[in-house]
Amino acid sequence: MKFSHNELKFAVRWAALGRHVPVGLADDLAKAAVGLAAVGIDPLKPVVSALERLGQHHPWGSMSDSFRLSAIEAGPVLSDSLVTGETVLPLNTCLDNPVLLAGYLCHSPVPQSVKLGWRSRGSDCVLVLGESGLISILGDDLETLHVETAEVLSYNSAMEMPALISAEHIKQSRSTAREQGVELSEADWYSLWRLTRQALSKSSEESRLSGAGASLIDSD
Amino acid sequence: MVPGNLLRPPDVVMRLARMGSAFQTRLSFMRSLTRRMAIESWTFSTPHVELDSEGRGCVIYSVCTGSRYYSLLAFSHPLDPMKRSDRVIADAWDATFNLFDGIPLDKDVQRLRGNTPRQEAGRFTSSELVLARANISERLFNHVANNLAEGRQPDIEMIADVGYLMRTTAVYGGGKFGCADWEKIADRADLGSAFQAEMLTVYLIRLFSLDLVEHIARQKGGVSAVTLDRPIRRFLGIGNATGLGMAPFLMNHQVLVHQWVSAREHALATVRGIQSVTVAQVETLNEVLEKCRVQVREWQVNDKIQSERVGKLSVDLAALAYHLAAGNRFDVSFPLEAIFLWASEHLGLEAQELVVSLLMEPFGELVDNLGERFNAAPAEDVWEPAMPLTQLKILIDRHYGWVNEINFQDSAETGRQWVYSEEKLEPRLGPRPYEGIADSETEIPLTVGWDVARLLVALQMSDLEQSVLRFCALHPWFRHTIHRIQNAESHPYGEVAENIIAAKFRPTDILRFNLAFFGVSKFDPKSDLWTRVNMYQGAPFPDELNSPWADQWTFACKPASLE
Repeated sequence: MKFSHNELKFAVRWAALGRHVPVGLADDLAKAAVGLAAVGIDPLKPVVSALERLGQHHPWGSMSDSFRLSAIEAGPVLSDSLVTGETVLPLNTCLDNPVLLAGYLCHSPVPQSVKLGWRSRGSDCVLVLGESGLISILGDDLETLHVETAEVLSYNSAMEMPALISAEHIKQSRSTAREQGVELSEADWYSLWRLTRQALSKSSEESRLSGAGASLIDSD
Repeated sequence: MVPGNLLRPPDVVMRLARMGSAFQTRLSFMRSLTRRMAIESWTFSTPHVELDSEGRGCVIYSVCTGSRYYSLLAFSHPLDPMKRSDRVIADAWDATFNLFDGIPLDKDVQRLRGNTPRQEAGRFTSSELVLARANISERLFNHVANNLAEGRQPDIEMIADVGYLMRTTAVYGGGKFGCADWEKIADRADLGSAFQAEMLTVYLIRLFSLDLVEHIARQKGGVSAVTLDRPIRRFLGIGNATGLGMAPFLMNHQVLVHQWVSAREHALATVRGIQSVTVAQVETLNEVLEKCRVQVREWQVNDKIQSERVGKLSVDLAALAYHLAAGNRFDVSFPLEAIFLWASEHLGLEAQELVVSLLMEPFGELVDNLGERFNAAPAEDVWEPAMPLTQLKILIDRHYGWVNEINFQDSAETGRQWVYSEEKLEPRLGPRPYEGIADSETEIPLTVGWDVARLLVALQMSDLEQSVLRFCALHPWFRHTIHRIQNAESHPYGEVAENIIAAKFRPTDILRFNLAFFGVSKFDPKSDLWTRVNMYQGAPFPDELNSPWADQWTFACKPASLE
């Protein structure tokens, strides 16, 4: 089913806020989801999975103590680190949803070409990054794009693999998405929307009175 | 190049009282659109009319902009008067619309016939740029239809009292419900600037409302029926009911709002910097002022606060006219700067903001290009993770001094909370459930001042030599606030310099500010939460776009009141 970027962004942002994700990280997650969708990767499964893994009392801001980080928290930090050259994430970071990184890095202008890879379930995946952000994705097979846990992240990965998603495909996908919206799984959309609804206020007679137009006598 | 000292600072411009006194200008979106229609000779046609004797059916209007076609599909429905409501949560309307990208094929019309009347419950595609709906003004619509059917023109006083046959109750663009994202048209010369697709939609809805009432009159009156006289037809705009949704929009589009305000402020500064003016320019200014005075006299509202403000505005405009009529007022150097300073000192806020609009009127060739392109591309968005906190602190001092005026320990300053209702995502503004507690999972994050105040406390306990990146890794709760602060440096007009969660906050101030940029007139607040306005009242029809008066159509007065 086709969705607009705006719909996807709204649903992801509010699903994140409903899971107590800090606003700035919720905004970044929404942009990451749109970035992934625009290069032809359905972001809904990894987004829903990452959100559902968050506990009610997730210890935001304690990344240095964590062994397995939430990509929702680590993604923006990693993206910023690659742009500035300042290392903040601990070495050998392990992420719960590494594929989300591709979304965070879509538009990060990395000054020098970088390959960022991970291994999971015996398969490798490498994101190729450059001045315009995500350039291409290399890997053994598409399944590596749907893993939910990376064994370890490696910077400047030396792994040489065939292109899973080529630079040309990414360029074409972005153009198509801009013109026609993005194709997403309808079932996964409802999984996401279930989380989004948690962030919406329950309606009552009292709350209806706090909306515009309340108590209007429409004599016009 | 505009002298910097003539630019009004953001801390003055972006105050709620002044924002709530804003007026349309030459740069407003509706005026930019009609000007472009005229300059580029857009052509209009009605390729499909299918209405029954009661006015139900479908009409298609098509526009050729030279490079592209766009079409309005208008569906007219029967509606139980008891269900006629301006609220977002309504589920039935007199008419529903889509702006279609191109000329629709039969299959598109059939698809939309099944979806457009359902509005939010329908599903749309990237071929649809805008989704909208409207209700008739029952008392005026029926009055006009009945009189025309009997061969008479409608009562002009009644026309002036309401001002429109239909009012839109929602105009959705930007990817809502599957419609095209704004990015699809962002690079287009015809509709690429912000809200131009929405403004074109409303322009065409106005044509539909007029065609519909004349159709019904013909059905009722047969050969006895007449059409509306052109001056009366032109004086009918399209109503609009605008509610709380505008406020989150404005707060969430810092870069875009900066572009709008910056353009207006640069236009004003340009005019203030003009050393001398011609006789013709003085005549234009005086003519527009005279029309404004009439228009303000005709501006009747029930809201007590706005009614008093309109009364004060009328007195102020008389004082301004008296001031301008004094000898040699325009013979000095920088005469418009002198008028601006006089107005700032002697007139109320409504009149001051109207003077901003008036002073630009004779100088289209100097200022109109400033309003041609509003486009908040992602590249405009600023995020500098390498910035040291010392620098961030400087930015807070420079752009958020107003935060220091607010005591956030006072529960009245954090007394309200914005939420989206699960009922059609209607924004609502209610009391904060837990005093002094922010960031509940359902709150729309519009707590800018409070957030900055808390960030300042956190910075006091932090190493200011560290980078924003490192600080945000440890304190992700401040990431969005720091993002805003960094954007404020390059987009200083994008931030409301006041607290919009305070118990005393009136959302109508923000609504009016936004609507003034659209180009509307006759603000008619119905409560603190929403307002009715008139759009395109006096605007030229397609065959009038190149008329000499067309460029200043917003100063429309009741027909014959200027004679």
